[in-house]
Amino acid sequence: MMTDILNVRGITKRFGGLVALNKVTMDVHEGEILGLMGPNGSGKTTLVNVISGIYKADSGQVIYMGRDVTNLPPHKRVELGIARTFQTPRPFNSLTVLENVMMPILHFGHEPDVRGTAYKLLEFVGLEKYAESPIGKLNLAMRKKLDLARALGTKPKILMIDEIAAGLSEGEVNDMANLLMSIRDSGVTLLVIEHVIFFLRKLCDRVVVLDEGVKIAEGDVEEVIRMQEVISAYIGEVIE
Amino acid sequence: MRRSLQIVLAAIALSIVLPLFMSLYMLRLLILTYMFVILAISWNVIGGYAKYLSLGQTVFLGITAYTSTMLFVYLGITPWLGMFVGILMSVAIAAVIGFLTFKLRDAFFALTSIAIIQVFRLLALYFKSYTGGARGIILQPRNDPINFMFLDILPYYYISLGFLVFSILLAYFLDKGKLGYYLKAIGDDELACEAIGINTLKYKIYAFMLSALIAAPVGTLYAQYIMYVTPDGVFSFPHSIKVAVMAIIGGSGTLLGPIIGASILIPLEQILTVYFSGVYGLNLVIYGVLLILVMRVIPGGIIEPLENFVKGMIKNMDAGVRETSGESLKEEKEVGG
Repeated sequence: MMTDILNVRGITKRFGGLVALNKVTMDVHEGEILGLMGPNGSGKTTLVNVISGIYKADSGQVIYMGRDVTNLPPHKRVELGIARTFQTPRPFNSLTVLENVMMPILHFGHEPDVRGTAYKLLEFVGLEKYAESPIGKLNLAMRKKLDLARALGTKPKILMIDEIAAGLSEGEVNDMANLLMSIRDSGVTLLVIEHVIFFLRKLCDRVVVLDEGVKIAEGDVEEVIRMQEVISAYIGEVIE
Repeated sequence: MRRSLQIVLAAIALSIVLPLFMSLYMLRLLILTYMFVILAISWNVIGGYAKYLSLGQTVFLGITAYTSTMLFVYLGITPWLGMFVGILMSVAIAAVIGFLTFKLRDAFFALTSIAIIQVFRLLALYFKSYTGGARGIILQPRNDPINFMFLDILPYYYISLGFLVFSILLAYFLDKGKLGYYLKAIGDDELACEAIGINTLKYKIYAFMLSALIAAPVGTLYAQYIMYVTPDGVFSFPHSIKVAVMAIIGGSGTLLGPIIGASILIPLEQILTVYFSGVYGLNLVIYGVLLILVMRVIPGGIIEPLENFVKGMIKNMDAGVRETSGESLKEEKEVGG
């Protein structure tokens, strides 16, 4: 019997006349890697923003470990264990690489040795050589890893990762997939937004597919990517 | 580390001893400079670290100046005590203003900060029967140390020096402490702060309260030193802009930037007034051109080249030591990579 760490119940989000999410319902099981896929503008990032509390949903609920968190501000949700990374990494530019990772550890005060813990996280993502460097020394892949390390510093139970493979080379994508799997193995549930199919194949236990704010498919990766609705959502209908 | 402590102690010793041999003019200039350094430090907390452009920073100076002076004139309470009441008022008002305005960003926060200082100026003008309206409140000079009044200028000098040291200490602990990290992070990216669990509104309000705490004592000092308080004198928009400019020119978001900025610009302003105001307004033109030049050439503030210069000197000294062992090249490669 799988327990759910997160239940999204009938979430609707409108921006003016545009319905970005339309009654989306999905469950995330504890310990899994769930892929969230869908074409551009299908509402994936909006959903992550609603779950993390940056957007307020117009209707519906976000239930985290049995508790309704729909009305909590973002920082409270992080405290409970819901963390995220951003599609474009958002490092603190006036701090060093190590200081970036120190921030959440300093804030939550779980660990007496703030520097040491942050350094271990940098080792985990493979950035320890850059500990004392300014952010300007990091390339895109490294910034994405830094975002990951910083999010891990909040000691999350569920981590939402927004398009981490976008813009990376094939080698970097493989490297990133291995990193995500070791994060999962350390006991963190992952919700992974992604386009890159081979990344999803390698990584995900299940996927959910959104199209124009509606959930159109859910299930095993191999099955889902062969479903007619999913194919037409990505490449359109055949015109007879 | 030990060397910088030595430098600080030497500076303090000099600022205690030298004034005994200084002219009245020099002492007045130093007091004015110290007051602006304190205000620039106060601005830097919110404008430099958290990057919220406050253009009404002297509002806290005004609140304390009016509070302690009115308590003294109407109730006979010594300004020494009135000052603490004024500081409490300033900090409390900072918390309220912060709560109301920190949801605004960028230009909107700046505009609101201008509006707030105008509101306080108009309040002081409106309640004539208490504040004396536009004429303000005038104190009679006398030697009365218990009531924060001196005929000699030296006591004012040492009091302003004391306030200056106090504000630099607060700035130092801010810079090295947890709040300083929070504010730098908030200044960089608020959304990323929320995403790692930081309640940004809370820390911005703390920062504004600290900023008020640093600026507030100057209010009482100013009132007791100048011997009068007027709405235009303390709730001054031009002075508020000046404070922001000094911190920015010196290097905002750094510990030393605002100190350097105000220490250079206030004397510069005076020198230009003395030597160039023969042609009406020429001193201001030169001042303006210099400001533009600094901002164009070193947008990071005067602190930037200064820091590089000092770092370069230290590096040269270290390299000189290392060259004999042939390690310097290898070391540099590691740093560069």
